[in-house]
Parts: sequence; structure tokens; C-alpha cells
Amino acid sequence: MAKPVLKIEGLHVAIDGREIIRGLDLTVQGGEVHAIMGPNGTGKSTLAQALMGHPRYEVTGGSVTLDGEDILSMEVDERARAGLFLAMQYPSEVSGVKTSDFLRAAINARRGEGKEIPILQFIRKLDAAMKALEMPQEMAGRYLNEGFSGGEKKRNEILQMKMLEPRIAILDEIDSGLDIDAIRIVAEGVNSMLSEELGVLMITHYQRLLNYIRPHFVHVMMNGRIVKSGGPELAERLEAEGYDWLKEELGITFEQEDADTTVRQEA
Amino acid sequence: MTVTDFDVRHIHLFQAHQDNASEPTWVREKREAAFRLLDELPWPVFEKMNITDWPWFQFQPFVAGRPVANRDELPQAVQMILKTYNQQAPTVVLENGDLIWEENTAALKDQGVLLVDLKRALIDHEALVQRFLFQGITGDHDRLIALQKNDRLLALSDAFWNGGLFVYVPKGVRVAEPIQLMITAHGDGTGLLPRLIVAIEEDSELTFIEHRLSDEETTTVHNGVSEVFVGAGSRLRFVSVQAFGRKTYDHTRRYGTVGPNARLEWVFGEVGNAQGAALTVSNLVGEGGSADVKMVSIGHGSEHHHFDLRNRHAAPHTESDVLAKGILLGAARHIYHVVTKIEKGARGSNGEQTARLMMLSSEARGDANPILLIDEHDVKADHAASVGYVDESQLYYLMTRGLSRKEAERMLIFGFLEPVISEVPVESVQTYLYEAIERKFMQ
Repeated sequence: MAKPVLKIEGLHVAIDGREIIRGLDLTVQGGEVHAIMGPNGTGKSTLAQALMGHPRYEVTGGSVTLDGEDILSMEVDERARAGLFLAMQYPSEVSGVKTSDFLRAAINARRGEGKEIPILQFIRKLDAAMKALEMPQEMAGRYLNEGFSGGEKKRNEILQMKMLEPRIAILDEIDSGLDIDAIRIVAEGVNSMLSEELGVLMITHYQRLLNYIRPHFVHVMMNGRIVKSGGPELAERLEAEGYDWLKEELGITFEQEDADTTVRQEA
Repeated sequence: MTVTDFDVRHIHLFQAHQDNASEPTWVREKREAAFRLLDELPWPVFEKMNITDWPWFQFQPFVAGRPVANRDELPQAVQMILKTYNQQAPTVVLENGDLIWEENTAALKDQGVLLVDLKRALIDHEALVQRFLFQGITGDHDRLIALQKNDRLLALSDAFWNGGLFVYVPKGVRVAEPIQLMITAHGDGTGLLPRLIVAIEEDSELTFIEHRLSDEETTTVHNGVSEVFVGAGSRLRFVSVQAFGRKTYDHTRRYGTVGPNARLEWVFGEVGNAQGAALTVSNLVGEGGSADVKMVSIGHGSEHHHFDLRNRHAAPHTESDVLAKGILLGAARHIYHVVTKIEKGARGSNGEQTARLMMLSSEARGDANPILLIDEHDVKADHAASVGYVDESQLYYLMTRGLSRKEAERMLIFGFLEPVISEVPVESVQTYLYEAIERKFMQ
């Protein structure tokens, strides 16, 4: 299979009529890890949710293609079946739905009717993935995210990623609220999947995660645009010096302090 | 519809039945008294749903069932359902109230258990039946939850009841296999008016399953009354599946009388397509008794159904618990009216109830009315109720993993109902409920 390519061109996204993303261009290919950094409220999570197709996020301009296919015209589930994955910052808790049942249904939805994963193969795959993420076996029998700690939820997101084997994975602040051990486990989970068959778009507020998952490209987002791109050294400078030098360099006045946070809570 | 519209033909049929039936005098008198009262008695009140213009009186009474010589002669629909149930369990089929088939019942007789056509039981075991028939019916005159001791639909059953079943378990007998009952109707416009008695004496145990069905395209009026008695220290599980067709009007009454340290567990699977109103009353009359209700319902199309669940604590240290959950599709309407009443003197009692309805369509409508009536200080009581739409953020989350909206809804529905269905004590019934709900959801 050819390398996956996610191509974002001139993307504009609004929430409740207010424009949050204002012309964003980015291409993510298989084998690449991109990190998007930036202060709170600059539209990072909006980008993640808009790419996945959250109904509250209205794309008002631009195009997004995955392997040449227009994903903006697809439903959320079609995007997922095309190979897009979003590890969420705040995954829903779903009472009554067992994690393992859900995973199997999701895998089978991706594979299509008549090509369902044989049950033994599924169990072996699940066991291996859970072991790698140091998740106790009983978690597969628990209801999806219900009563999970913050760290358990993040691991469960990566577990789903391992099971679903996406072509493009968007990781939305998978490090938030995790201690160092948990970050290491989650990062190892992601690293173990890196290959030419997977492109990663990683959204993070802190440089810390980038010590564990090394990006090839670092982008800084402000006011709904990518304002600077570079290699890992850019992230290190941001960690050391903050964002002020960059704002000054680019002559940016900062707006929308809380827009992102508010919407994420509701989503 | 009023009683005066009641076809004059019914009066003749009623009289003819009275002349022909070999019923004991007290039963005949009960019929006649009820018949005379039909015009005067008030309709039963089902809060927020007007059932008085439903065709309760438009039926052909006293239509006999058709006995069969072997299982293969049973109606196809009955055979199909029987196949999903326990093949070794004692099983009885009632058509239009008449016992037309039984199997695996011999071993019960050795234990002294009676599983008899009610009309037959009135001949062979009159004194025993008289201890129970009509004895479990109670009224409650609390100003908030008026439940008359008698009303028009109850009297309609008293006057026109046509067959039924008498189940009796003697003292100290634990029945190993569940007793399975199929209740079915035959003939267009037939009135299905069975009476059911399930009485278990002290220190006994029974699981009883009734499965009620009617043809999808045949007009049927069901008016069924069950009286259930649980003796001291006994445990009765009463599982009832409603799988009536869409042209059936269903009026169901169940009255449970729970003795000291006895336990009555009701399980209701309301997965049929009928229009209906169902009232279930558990009277906790013995110290230390308990009643438990688990119910799932699913409504679609234009189905209207009222479910009235009442637990009345009339003795100290009694407990009740209700867990009811329903799914509403299309323009369906379900009402959960749950009443926990703790009488004065029922100290140390505990009544809990949870009623939740999930709607998947903006045209569906659900109501959950939790009511606690407490006349005693030293008690605990708790209620939780909710009516809401399926959670959009959960749907989104599942869809981001590749599940279609329909599949995601299906997962959420079963996730919502799972805590109730997993408590159903018989696995074959669990399976049946899951499949029936799935079918309705996919329609």
C-alpha cells in the first residue's frame, strides 16, 4: 500500500459562527511525526476535531484530503474507516459497553462485512496490545472508559489506535494529566507503531512529550494559523523561552484566550 | 368508546356462557356482579395517557382454543419461540385462555406441584383455588395515587375472563426448572382475557416465565389479570415477556402478595408492538419481605404504553427495588409511573426506584414519574428518574472509531439496557430480549 498522505490546504473552521482556524496548510505523510504546539486557545484541538468531523465544528473554507480523497465530504465514521484516527483529550465514558466488544465492533466496521476478524486472532491481538501498554487484562471487560482514571483513559485511546491501525493518527494532548511513567508507556505505545504506513499529527501544550515521541517536524499555531515550522530544536527553544519571543518576532497580538478550552470541555 | 356501545350480542354470549359453564357458584356470582357494574365503574387511571377510547370492549368473548395432539401442530409462532426456550422445562401453552398443550409436566406432579388449566382447577381443586382467585386484588385510596379496588377494566376481566392457569407449589418444594407458559390468541377480534394464579407456599421456590404473543396482523384485545402469592420465606421469580403484535390492545394487571421474609422478583420484557397499559402492584404484607422489579421496554412507530409499577410496604423491614429502562424510537410514547408507598408502621423499610427512558427520535416522548409516599419516619427511600435523548458526544466518540451512526446507536442502546437485561435470571430470556430489541431497532 502506498504511503498515507493527509493534505490540509487553506483550512478555515468556525464554531458557532466564530472563526477559530483561519487558513491552515499542512501535509502529513506516512513515516512522519508532526508536532503542533502553541499556547492555549490557538485552535489546536479545533484542528483535531474538525479533521475528525465533529458536528459542532464548521469548515468554512479550504480542503482536506486523505490519500487524495476529500474527507470533508465524509461522515465521521467514513473518515475513521478511511484510516483517520483521533486520540481524544477527553474521551467519552460509555456505560454498558464493554471495551473489548467495542473494539471488536470497531475493527469489524473498518474491515467490512464478511471480512470480520476471527475471534481468536482478535483476542491474541488485544492481549498483546494490552500487555504492551501495561493494562491489566480485566480492563477489556470493563465498560468503555467508565470510572477510568485520566491515565487509563489515555492508555485506552492508544490501545484503540493499536487495534485499529490507522493510516493517519491525530493525538490530542495525550500527555495531559499523565505522570512520567504513564507518559513513557503511552509514548512507547505510539513509537511501536511508527512506520511508513502511519503518519502522526501530535498536538501538545508541553515539550515534555516530545522527549518521548520524537517529531520530525514541529509547528507552532497561533490565532488559528501555523506561524512557524521547524525541527525538534524549535520545540526545545519554546520550552526554554516560552512563546513571547515568537510573538514579538512575528508581531502577533494574542486573542481568544479560552476558546479552545471551552469547546473541548463541551465536546 | 363507552360500555353502552358494547354490542348486545355480548350480553347474549355472556348469558350463554353462564348457562353452559360448570363453574362454582361463587365464580358465577362474581361474573354477574362484575357484568352489572360495567356501566357504573370508573375507568382505571393511567396518568398522562388517555386509554378510555381504546377498543377495550370490541372483542369476541369466550372463543375456545384449539387443542393439539403434538407439538408440531402448535401455531408456527409459538413453536418458534418454544425452540428458543428451555427444552427440558415444564411448558404449557394457552390459546385464547385454554390449555392446548403441555410437556415435561409429569415430574412436577410427583412433587405435588399443580400446573392446571384454571377452569379445570375450579372443578378439581375448588377450595384451593378459592383461597387465591380474586383475593390478591387490592385498592389504594391515597389521594395522590388513586387506585380503586375495582374499575371498569378489572370488572371486564371479572365478568368475561376466559380460562387461564393455576400454578401451585406446596410448602417446602423448590422447583428446579423454570415453568414456562405461552399465552397466545387465535382469531380476528378475539378477546384474550386470561386469569393467572401463581401461588407458592412457605419455604418454596419457583421461577415462572410467561411469554405473551399475538399475530402481528390480527386484531386482539388482551385483558389479563395475574395474582401472585409468595408464602413465608419463599422466593418467586416471575418473568413476563410481552411480544404482542401491533394490532393488539394490551391491558395487564398484576398483583403480588409477599409474605414474611419472602421475595418476589418481577422481570418484565416489554418488547412487543402492542398499545398498552400495564399495572403491577406488589403488596409487602409480611415482615422482612421484599419485592424487586426489573423492566426493559422498547417502543417504536406510534406505540403508546403506560407502565405503572407500585410497591406498597405494609409491614416492618420490607424492601423494594425498581430498575426500569426503556428505549423510544419513532413517535413512540412510554410512561413510567413508579410509586413506592411506605405505610405507617412499616418501620425499617427501604424503597428504591430508578426509571430511565432514552429517546432516539425527536418525535418520541417519554415520561418518568417517580413517586414516594412515606407515612413512617424510620425508613429509607430513594428515587432516580431521567428522560433524555441519546448522548451525542458518546455517539460521536463511537463513530470516530468507524461505527456507523446506526451501529453506534445500537451499542449505546444495549449499553443502556445491559445492566437490566444481565439481571434477568434465565439466559434464554436474556437472549430473546436482546434479539427482540435488536429486531425492533433495525426496523
